[in-house]
Amino acid sequence: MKRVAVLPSRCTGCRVCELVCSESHEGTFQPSKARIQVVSFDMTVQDVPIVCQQCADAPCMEACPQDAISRSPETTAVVVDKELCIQCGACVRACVIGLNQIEPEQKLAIRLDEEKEMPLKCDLCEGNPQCVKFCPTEALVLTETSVKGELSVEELMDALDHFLKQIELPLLEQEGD
Amino acid sequence: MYKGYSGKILRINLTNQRIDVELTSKDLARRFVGGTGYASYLLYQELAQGIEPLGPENKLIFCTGPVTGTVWPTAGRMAVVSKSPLTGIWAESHVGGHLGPEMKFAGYDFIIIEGQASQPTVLSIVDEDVQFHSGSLYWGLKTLKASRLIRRDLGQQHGHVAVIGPAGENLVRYSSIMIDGARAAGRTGLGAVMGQKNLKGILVRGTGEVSVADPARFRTLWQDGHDRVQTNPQALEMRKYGTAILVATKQSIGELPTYNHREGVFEGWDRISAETFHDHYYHTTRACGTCRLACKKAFRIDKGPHKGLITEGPEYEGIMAMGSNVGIDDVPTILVTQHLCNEYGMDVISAGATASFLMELAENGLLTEEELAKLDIQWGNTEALIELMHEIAQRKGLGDLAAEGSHRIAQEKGEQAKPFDMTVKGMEISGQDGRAHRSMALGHAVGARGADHLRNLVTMDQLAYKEVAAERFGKDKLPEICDPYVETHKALATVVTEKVYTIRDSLIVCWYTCSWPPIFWVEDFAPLLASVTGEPAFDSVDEMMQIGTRLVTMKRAFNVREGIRRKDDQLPRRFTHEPFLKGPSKGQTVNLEPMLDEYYQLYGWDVTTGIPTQETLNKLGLDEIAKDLQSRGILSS
Repeated sequence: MKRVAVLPSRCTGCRVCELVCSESHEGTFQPSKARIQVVSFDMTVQDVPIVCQQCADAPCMEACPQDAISRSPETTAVVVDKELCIQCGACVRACVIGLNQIEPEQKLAIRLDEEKEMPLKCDLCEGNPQCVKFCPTEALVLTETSVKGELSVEELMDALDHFLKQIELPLLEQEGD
Repeated sequence: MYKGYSGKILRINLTNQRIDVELTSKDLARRFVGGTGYASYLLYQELAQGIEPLGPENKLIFCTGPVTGTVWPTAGRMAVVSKSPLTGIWAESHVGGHLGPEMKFAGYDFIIIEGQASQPTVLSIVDEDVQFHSGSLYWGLKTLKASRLIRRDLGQQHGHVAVIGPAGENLVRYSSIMIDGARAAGRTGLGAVMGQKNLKGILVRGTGEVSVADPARFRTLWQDGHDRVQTNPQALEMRKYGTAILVATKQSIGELPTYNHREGVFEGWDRISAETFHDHYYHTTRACGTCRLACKKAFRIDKGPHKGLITEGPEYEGIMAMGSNVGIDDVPTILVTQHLCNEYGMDVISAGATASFLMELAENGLLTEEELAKLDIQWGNTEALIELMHEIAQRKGLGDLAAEGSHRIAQEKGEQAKPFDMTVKGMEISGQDGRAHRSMALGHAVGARGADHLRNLVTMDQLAYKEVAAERFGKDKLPEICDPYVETHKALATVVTEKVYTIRDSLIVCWYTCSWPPIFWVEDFAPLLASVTGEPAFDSVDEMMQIGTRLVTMKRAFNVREGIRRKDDQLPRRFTHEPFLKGPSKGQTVNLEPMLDEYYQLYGWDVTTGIPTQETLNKLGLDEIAKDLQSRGILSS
């Protein structure tokens, strides 16, 4: 099963992925509607793109009460059927890739979009993901196997946990210098 | 309104907390495009002549352009304009990161900040929702922490933040506005304008869209644009090393500012070269929005007294300012001072240049015991340089004097100090030297914001791009146009480049990929702007160059109204009278006046005064500006 693997050590945080994603899906430049989201880690000066990993036993698919989420036979992506979706948000709550403590109603890998009346998630662009195509540094790779340097789902979760910790620093911490 | 623009201008008055949303003018967009072009007209109309830059009458305009927020390579930048507390004239500073696109997604082409808050304030702009918050908790904090806490406390983790640090709060005249704590709108002292207004920070979060007029044509253009950057060997070299490559380049042509521009070669240059930074200190690469070049490097110190420091930057300019120009060849010191400038929120170029100026004053016995206090400010003293940065931001000891900038100190000290004052119109010179790069001599002298390398820098004579020079300025201009040590054709090159750059700054895209490496030029900007906006008139190179002339002249008119004349378009005496004593540029000085004559003639400005003529203003459709200058007796009626 294919997915967009993330190699954060190569990411420059340019966010071309967000823009080409929104352009190809929505026809405009609008990162808030992009299916891939870049998270910036100020303290370690790094960026991590977050995108659906098309999980083998996808929690979103299992959680959907309408069976609106299935695996596409063509692209092997986990996709949402807009006709069947009732926007209940069960898939979003089930997904593990997000900033659960500060955005409990949204995830980075799958998000409810009120205007579109369906969840936004990576559909692998009919097998030719635009984010992979235009990433300047090959930080995103379309693959079926594991790639050296990529983040697993567990590591993505760890990274996001780290992101949360970094923003929870006490306001008046001791100055280091 | 044209496509590409958000179509709205947000006006925020800090005195009475009034918020207005105005419409971006199609007529002005047609005449001045956007970015600092459009804003130059706005600022001229918004500010009264002669106002105090550090007073409530001054305004700050945060600018984007029609290309900002699209995926065109290097479209992640933005600019801030105001009247400068450092120079008293036109202030403009460009900055990368992601705040510019975020403004567009929030729905605003420009944000105008006016008045003065009674207490420290933070603004949040989340799409249509604009709010005032107390800034007391953040006042006094350094920039990175303030940015993080503002994002956290306002619950906007995906937002981007512009803040000032202690330097801006303490009205250091060259303090910066920092974007997300790591990108600086550094030059001209805009941080002090924010500080005077009691405005600690602005958070912006936008969820809207930027759409273009002709998506299919634009797609062809941007995809081709990304390909051209991706396949350019110099762009890839910059991605690896960043702008630090220039250290070796400048050393090789004798243009590496050393000991306050006394020399153009530095004995320790290879210890502060791109390779040294890369091989021993590289941490990560961080691009601005949509940039494939990704010149920004973060560095890490793994051993020694500064172990554990991770910082974004420095650029070549920081390496020069905190390195060769103060006689320092120690990378950790350069990283620490650069980091302090970011954290305190002050311009690394002016801070470093003021340090080198003070070092030369000290060397010549022109600083009093009291001024020196305990600081042994001399060439190569790394500890003193680091301590000076702390003192400037807090206006303590020698720092209180240094916070005023080199030019004010020289004026105060008198004739003996003036030969060491390396400023133009009050702004410290950036990391070039006209004696070894003759087009830059003119560029520094005439730049709208003072000694500036980014509004008109010609790279042809510096980096010897012969084919590009032939294409842009004509084959008949070779070989002189690529000879860094002659004045011939340099006025023409500067004028053409300056026009194209003001277009660039109104789109807004980065200066990298325009001249270094030379990938995009006005032939690319014309179809780009037409496809984004839908205005067919933009699809003509001649029309774009006419707009370029209008924009340069508009900024000149702002400065002319503030009293700037030919007499102010001058270089430090060192550049025109003191030849280099060694290196490839040994014996060189600048012959400025003939280049100035030609420069004014090419623009249609009066050669004696440097004031745009009535005829030129009318020809450029700047009739209302001509009338205004007439009413003030600056132009005869």
